Order: sequence, then structure tokens, then C-alpha cells
Amino acid sequence: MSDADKTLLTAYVDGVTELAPHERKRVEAVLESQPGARAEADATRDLLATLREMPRTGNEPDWSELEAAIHRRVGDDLPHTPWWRNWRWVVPTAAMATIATIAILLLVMRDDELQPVAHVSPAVQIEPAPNEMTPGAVVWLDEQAIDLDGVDADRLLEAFDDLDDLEPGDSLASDADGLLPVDDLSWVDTLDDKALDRAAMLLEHKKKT
Amino acid sequence: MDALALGLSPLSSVTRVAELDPDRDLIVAFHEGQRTAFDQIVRRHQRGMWHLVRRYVKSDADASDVVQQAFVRAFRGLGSFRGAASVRSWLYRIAINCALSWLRDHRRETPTEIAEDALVEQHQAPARIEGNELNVRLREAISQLPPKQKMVLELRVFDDLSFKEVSELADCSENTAKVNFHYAVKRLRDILGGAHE
Repeated sequence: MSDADKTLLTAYVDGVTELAPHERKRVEAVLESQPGARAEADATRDLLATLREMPRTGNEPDWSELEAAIHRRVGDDLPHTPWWRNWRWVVPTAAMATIATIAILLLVMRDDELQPVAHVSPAVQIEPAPNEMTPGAVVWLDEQAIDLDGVDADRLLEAFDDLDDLEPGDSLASDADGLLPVDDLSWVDTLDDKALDRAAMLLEHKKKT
Repeated sequence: MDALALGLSPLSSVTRVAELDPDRDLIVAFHEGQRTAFDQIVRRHQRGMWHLVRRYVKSDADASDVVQQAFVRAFRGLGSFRGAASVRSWLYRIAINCALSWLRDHRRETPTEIAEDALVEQHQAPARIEGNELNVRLREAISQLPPKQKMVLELRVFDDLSFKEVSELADCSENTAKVNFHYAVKRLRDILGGAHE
């Protein structure tokens, strides 16, 4: 029998319910398979019984008298609890509530800041433009329908990409071949205030995003 | 094979298991402001605490005094008791601490760093030896045990604590308590030879 089994056997003899089910099974298997284990268990049980039967040291006092003495020393009132012990949960709770309130306020304020942009978007959204460029399709550009008949669609898209890469001061590429009136900007003068405002809002929106 | 077949006492084993602390309701009542709940706690545990303390101090009167101190300390601390351990092992811990403090205050000439040193002396005192020759031999045998084994054995056998409660008081794991208990029993059997059989 291993030391671990002997330890379990002693615990089993003195408190079978305090062993885990698998420990109990293990001890019971040992008891079944090893004849010496039963003798060991019996000897342990006898010793523990003898120990428990030993007379207690000293003469017990009068328990009601001892209880009364304790009551006198303790008093009739409940123990005084320091104020901080009652408040110790209030402070962290209040701190958490404050932090949560500040966080919510910050989120609300941030939403308010973003709101104009959100309102601008529908206004900037001018009119739905055709998504696909098909032969004979029309591109909606600057509130004008431009007929793409006879224009190479791939070349046109490249031209748009080039426009995105332009730096301030660069001259506009002429790849668009007249699609945009790049040489003649007099059309700008024809824009009314409403259109200019929309353009400004659109630029502002782009900057933010 | 079961516990009954081995001649064990399942009832006493069950009562030691402190899975559901029988004092928990009293603690709740005390927390709710019922002062009388403490009196009930005193009634339940004063005897056990007294016998525990009595193994540490030299006289019955001193044991009573230490138990009173322990209950006063428990009363003041009960408001902050959160039930990490059982009420009984919490009270017994306070009682042991009070007993050790008492020994420090009253018996400076005796090594009192650990409770077991004090216990050795108690058991060796001639006035303390009671009963027949076997009891005397048993007490002597117990006094020869290593401190940890002795503490675990006494808490288990004399104070009737569960292994879990013993482990809480001996500052060790439940398995370590079982191992110490086994070696204490084995050692006692070795010391006593066949005297108890």
C-alpha cells in the first residue's frame, strides 16, 4: 500500500464523508484487494476511539456563568462600527457613477459635434448618379449630365484617378479631353451662392472624414 | 464496502462537514442588528473554545478569562466577518491567538512562539495527567509529535473539527492536514506499540 493510500485510508476511517467520491472508491478498492488494509483500518479506528475517550483536561466551568461574564464584558449594545466602514462602499460607488456620467456626457457631446456633418450629408447628396458606365451612359458631373458616347470608359476612369493625385498648383491633365472645362473656368462664375455653400460643406465634410 | 461495514460512525463524520455553516444564519441576524444572535453563538461555542484554550493555558480560570477575551474580540470583529471560513474556525483562530497572547504576557520564560510548545508543557505537568496508565502514555506520545502533526491531531480528535476547518486553523491545505493527521496517527501507533490494541 502506498503512502498516499495509507493517508487516504486514515482519512476514510475518521471521516468517510470528507473524502471525494473518487478517493472513497480508491480506498474501498484497496480495502477489497489488500487484506492488510483492513487490519490497518481497524488499528487506526481503535486508536482514534481511545484518543476520543480520553478525559478532557481541566474541570469545566459553569457555562451559564461564563456566558453571563462574556455578556457583561461585551455589553448590551451592538459594537460601534466606524463611519468609514459604513461608507466604504459608497465612495467607490459614487466615483464609478461620476465616471460613468462623465463618459456618457462626453459621448453625447461628441455626437452633437458630429451631428452637422450628419445633417450635411443628405444635403450634399445631390441626385443619384448612374453607377455603371455602360456604352451610351451618361455621367452626372457637377450637376450636369455628360454623355459618354464615344468616350473610352477606361481612359476616362484613369483620368479621374489622376485628378485625385493632383497637388495644388498642378495644371489639370488634359486627358479628359474636354469632359471638364479645364481651360475655361468661367463656369465657376456661373455658380450661385447655394452651390458654393454646398461645395464648402462638402469640402468640410471631406476634411473631417 | 461502506462506512457502516467498517464500523465507522457516519453521523459524527457528517456533523463535522462544514459545507453548510450552521452559524451562518446567526451571523446574518447579527449583521441585521440582532444582538441576541451573538449570545447564541457564545452558547454554541464557549465549551469548544474553552477546551481548546485549556490545552494552552495552565488553569481553568485562565482558560475562562482567555475565552472571554476571545469572545470580546469576536464581538468587535463580527461586523466585518464575511464568511471566508466557517464561524467556528474563525472563533477558534481568535481563541488560539488570544491564548498565545496570554502566554506571551504571563509566561515569558516559556517559549511561546508556537502553540504546540506550550501544549507540550501543559501535557507534561503532573497535575494535568489524569486517568489510567494508557491515557498517560497517550498524552506523552502526543507531546512527542512534531508541532504540526500534534496540532492537526488535536484539532481533529479533541475539537472535532472537519479537515477543512483544521486546514484553516493550521494554515495548510486540506490534503496537507490529512497527511499530517495520518502521520500523527501512525507515529502514535509506533510509540504506543500494541498497548492500545
